[in-house]
Amino acid sequence: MVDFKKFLEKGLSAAEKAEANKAEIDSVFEELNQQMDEATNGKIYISRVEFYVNSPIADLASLANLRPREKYTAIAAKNRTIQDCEYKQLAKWKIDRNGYPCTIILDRDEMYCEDKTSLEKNLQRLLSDPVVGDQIYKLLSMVAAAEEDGDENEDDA
Amino acid sequence: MNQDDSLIFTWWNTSLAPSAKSRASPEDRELVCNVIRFLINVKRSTFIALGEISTEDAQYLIEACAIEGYEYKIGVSSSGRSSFDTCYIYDVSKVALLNVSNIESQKGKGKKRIAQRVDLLVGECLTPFYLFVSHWPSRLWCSEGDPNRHLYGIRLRDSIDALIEEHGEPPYIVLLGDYNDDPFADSLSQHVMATRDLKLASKRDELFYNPFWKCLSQTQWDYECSGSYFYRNGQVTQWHTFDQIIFSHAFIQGKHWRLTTDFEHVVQVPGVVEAIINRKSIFDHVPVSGQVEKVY
Repeated sequence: MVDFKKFLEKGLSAAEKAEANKAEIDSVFEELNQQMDEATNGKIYISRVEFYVNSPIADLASLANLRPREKYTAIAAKNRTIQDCEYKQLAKWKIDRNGYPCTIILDRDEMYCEDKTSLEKNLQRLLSDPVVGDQIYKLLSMVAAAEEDGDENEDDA
Repeated sequence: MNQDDSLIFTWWNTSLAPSAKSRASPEDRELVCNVIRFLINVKRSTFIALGEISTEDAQYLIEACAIEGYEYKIGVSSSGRSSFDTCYIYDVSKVALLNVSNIESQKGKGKKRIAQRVDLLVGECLTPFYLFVSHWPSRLWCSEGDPNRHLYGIRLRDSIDALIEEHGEPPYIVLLGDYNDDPFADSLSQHVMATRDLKLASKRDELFYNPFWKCLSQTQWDYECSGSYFYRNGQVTQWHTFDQIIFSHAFIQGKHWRLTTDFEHVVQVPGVVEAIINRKSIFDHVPVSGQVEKVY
């Protein structure tokens, strides 16, 4: 007789391991954001966000209901003190169904992170990249529209 | 066949600078220059990938070994405590080099250099070719049975699969390098899916074809090499076929570009085998090549 129960157990065990890995990955991003909070006075928030593939042909196909627009995930940052601030992409992000490896694609360099330590190290490397640093600097430099209006009114008076 | 209708890809582990730390004498560098001139002027190489090159070695080659119509691109870049140690030379009339990027895997603090990806546009039609250039660890540091050898093949295949998924139709992909594994090793035959079976590779778009299965042994008495890498202390064989050039299904399907199957892949360069067999020499690899031709 075919033993389905054994394979079900394997699948459940694998699912449990995958959930634990993903929870661990989430915890790395939580720690990252806690430190970003402290370092930027609560301004910069980093998340894994879906973006649409930028392709005029894909856009047309989607408008004509021929094919849904393709998406990809990126590690992105925003200034959460600015209303309607859009996320700025820092690097592309992929995650295996088992959690690890997760992959950070910075410019075109690909880094497979096989465990928590390597993910932490590569997020450090991401933050220290000059282009990423420039993106974050620009986000930090954004000034709220209300603040600007308030300054103008003071000048008028 | 018109020479303009073919592209020859060559890989050579020069042994000048393991992990991009140069150990070469002036005579060693001069020998490398002579080999490059031979590969270009005699063997008509279109694109040459050199391994174990330091930035200093590459600068020397750029100055001492300038060849009209060819450009150099230094691929040396740090990777953890080691480096990618590559340099590329290419015929600018046939090939445009767009981008060089690194593919690495990290576990804990240890990094593995899986490959360097080199994106090209080739020919009049500017067809994209994607090269993955690898130099996997020596058997001294990562033995034949080490599970990490599998990981190199698995991650290379992961990057290939991501490219195939983006591309739409089967892309033109060339894998080159010193894998420190023979064609029959699981890293290549199973994980990368590089087969000896030409017919199967023509039918299944996920397969790669590895012509270096033909180069596992010498077939004539006057042929010097039984492979591409010479290890003097080998008990059963002094030669291994660690250096290979492997082609994607698109080249076997042959719609626009097709692999030349009748081709001498291990390049016997005058003076190189003698240098390799010499006990005092740093050289231990022979250049390897593969050719693709335009289909009209």
